[in-house]
Amino acid sequence: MRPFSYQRAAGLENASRLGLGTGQGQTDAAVQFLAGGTTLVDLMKLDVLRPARVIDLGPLSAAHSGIEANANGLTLGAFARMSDVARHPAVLAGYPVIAQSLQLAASAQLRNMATLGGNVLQKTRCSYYRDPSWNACNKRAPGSGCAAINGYNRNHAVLGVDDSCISQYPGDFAVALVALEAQMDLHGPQGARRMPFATLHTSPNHRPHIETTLRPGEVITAFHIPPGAWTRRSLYLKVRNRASYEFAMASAAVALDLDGDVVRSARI
Amino acid sequence: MAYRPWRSTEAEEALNGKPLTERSAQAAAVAALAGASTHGYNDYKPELARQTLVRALLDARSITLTAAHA
Repeated sequence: MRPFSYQRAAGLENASRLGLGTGQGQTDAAVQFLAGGTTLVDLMKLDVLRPARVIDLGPLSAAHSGIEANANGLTLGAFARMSDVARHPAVLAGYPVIAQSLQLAASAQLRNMATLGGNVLQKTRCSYYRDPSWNACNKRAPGSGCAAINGYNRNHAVLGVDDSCISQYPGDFAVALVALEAQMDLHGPQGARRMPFATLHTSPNHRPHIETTLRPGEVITAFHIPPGAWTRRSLYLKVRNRASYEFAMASAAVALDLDGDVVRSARI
Repeated sequence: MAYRPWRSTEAEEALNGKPLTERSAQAAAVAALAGASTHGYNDYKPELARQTLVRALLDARSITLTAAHA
């Protein structure tokens, strides 16, 4: 691992100021935020992410890890741990697709560490991205090409790709969030804003090293899932090579509002 | 399955207002994967994804909502 400086954010304002160099999650961004660390530390050890500075958001955790369900929907603090949300009674009863997407992800140890905010920003598992001994990877080294297109691409994406990158988004929780039309609260140098979760991740657009629409210094503080007749009749189905601790080959988050057998409204 | 978290409004539109049957679920799954492109080793994926979606839809149909939740 390369040397880096480590700093703890004193609060939200401080985090956004210290994080101005985060860019939009580019691999070569000089500054990276640290939450649960389950992706960042892994990729730093692999020499894929090489930040000069790491800003630890841990001190924000206590104020932004609440789980609240009421008539206005479900609000999840971005620093809530995956395991705490997956076993919360209100999530299990009212939003099973959310609970299942978290419960079926990773391992118990990872779910106990990983935060929701970090989870949605998890990087692809493309083996060419994760191994810097491959020169060609437009996501890791912009303009270098894509080793996966003519390589071993058994678990690469089939939707939303272009000829610059065919890597697969690895997360499960985010699939449930887009189906349920979640909103996301952010805090940045210009203050707070709310945006549709579906607009967070960008298409490759021939510049796959830019992965999100986050602005420099923005921290995810919460997710909000609006209420709807479909949230209770919902599930997450994950198909993979082994029964646990494995990424999806295919998965689906579905939520249905039915009138008898007739679909009033589907979320897929 | 997708480059980014993927919502399929095509599949939703194929189902809205219709009875949910194996046949309509199939049609929704075909709509969802209509734009798929494969690169050799992942040629199997559109069919796996279609079957995954069909199973998810039929499983969701058979969820029994208890009185407390209905």
